[in-house]
Amino acid sequence: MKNPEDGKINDKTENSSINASDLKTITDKIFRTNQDLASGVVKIIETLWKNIKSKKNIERIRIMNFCGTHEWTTTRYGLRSLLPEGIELIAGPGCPVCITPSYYVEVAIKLSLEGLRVYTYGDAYRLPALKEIEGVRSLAEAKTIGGDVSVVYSLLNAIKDAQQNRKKSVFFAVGFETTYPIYALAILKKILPENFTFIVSGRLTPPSAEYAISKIGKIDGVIGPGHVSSIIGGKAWSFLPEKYNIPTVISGFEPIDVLISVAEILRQIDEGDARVVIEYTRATSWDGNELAKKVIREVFDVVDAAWRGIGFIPNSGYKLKEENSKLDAFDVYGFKEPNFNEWRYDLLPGCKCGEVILGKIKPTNCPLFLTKCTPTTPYGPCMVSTEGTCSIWARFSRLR
Amino acid sequence: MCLGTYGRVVKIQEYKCWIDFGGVIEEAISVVEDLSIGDYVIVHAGVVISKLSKEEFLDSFKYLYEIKRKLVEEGEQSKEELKKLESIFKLLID
Repeated sequence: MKNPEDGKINDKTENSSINASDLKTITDKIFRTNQDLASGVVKIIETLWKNIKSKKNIERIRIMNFCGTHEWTTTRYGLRSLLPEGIELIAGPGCPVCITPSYYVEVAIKLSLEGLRVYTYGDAYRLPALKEIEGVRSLAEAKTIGGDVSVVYSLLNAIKDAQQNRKKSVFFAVGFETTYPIYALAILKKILPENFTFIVSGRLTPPSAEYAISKIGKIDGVIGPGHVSSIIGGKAWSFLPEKYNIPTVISGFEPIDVLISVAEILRQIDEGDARVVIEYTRATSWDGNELAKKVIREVFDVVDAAWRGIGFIPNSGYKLKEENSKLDAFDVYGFKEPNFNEWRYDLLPGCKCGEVILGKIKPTNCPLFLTKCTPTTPYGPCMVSTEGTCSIWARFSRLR
Repeated sequence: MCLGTYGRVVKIQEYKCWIDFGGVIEEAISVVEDLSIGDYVIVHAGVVISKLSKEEFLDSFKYLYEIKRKLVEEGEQSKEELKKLESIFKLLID
């Protein structure tokens, strides 16, 4: 194995019997391609469902996920088609790009057209805003008329680039809890170049889950997000069984992970149990990542925050603490933070992304789905990111 | 955004580290405290968010096994089904 800096062989790593690609192969064999195991889990699900129906006189249950990657797995691998009739898997708010308020996109476009370099993750690059800014609606379109937009994989790429070009720069920090430790650590370690700021649009998943449940009505089980929970811990979801009596399973992202999670939810329903169980034990713990939580707490406050097409949700967003306000693009460049009283519905006419995000309707219930709104010409935010429910259904679902 | 990539730590320098993604080596920032060279990790948008526990790799199945065992005990599924599951687990562990 080569040392990344000098290209020399790094002896310290030679004693291992498997490498990273082997680990991926093992994961695939166990959790993705093992047909015997998948059919075994489906048989368990079928038996449990038969028991539940006969014992409890229930004809239909709804299980909600809160992560776009779970929806991707569910749809891409056709898991809905493997489940008995009556078990419905619903996508909840699990796509950070989809719920980023239009106003933030508009600010990012404006700054890019004013000559600042705007760094963005790839999945927010084509995110359309409600209002046109100088005739364009997205960062991708802004770039075509001279906006300075750079797509990066991580904050580190942006920092390196900004150190070289020395321009005023803005990082469009879209994301849930998983993406926020790096910003916090970079700020605490003081590794940001001069004139580097953030559009802080980070959002928290448990408050949105609770909000979605309050809007959609009864949910019988929750498939909790595995990587978000690597940071916040399985215990962050305790309110679901304790307050709402909802069986909750923190799940991995392979198809067999999701099937096991459905089986465990059914077991809990069958036995009248409701608790948080971590299925994704290989990466998630009950307490989560204490260091990540600590650095986030040191740098950000948790505030009421706007969700696109939905409105304000209490304690659901990050905001830089007062002492870090010189890193906040809104403060530095004179943009007002959206507030509860001034919030306006920020989806284009006819777009039903707000209802799709909350799990109130399926993408196929939207008249614009695959007519006016497609993956190549997205009209609403849910059709843009690979984690958007409409985009996933458009690409993989057979339920058109 | 939840898309995490499995990799292996090849170098550590304070909070920075270099991860081997099956041949491609990328720089990342770690928020995992006790990281060591050789650890398997999940990297999310350039951040090491979690170590992968090889020991707990198959723990996901303990609930499944318990469910199956109970269903067999209750006569809902046959003992052969349980044996089939056990043999799959054995193959996975080997």
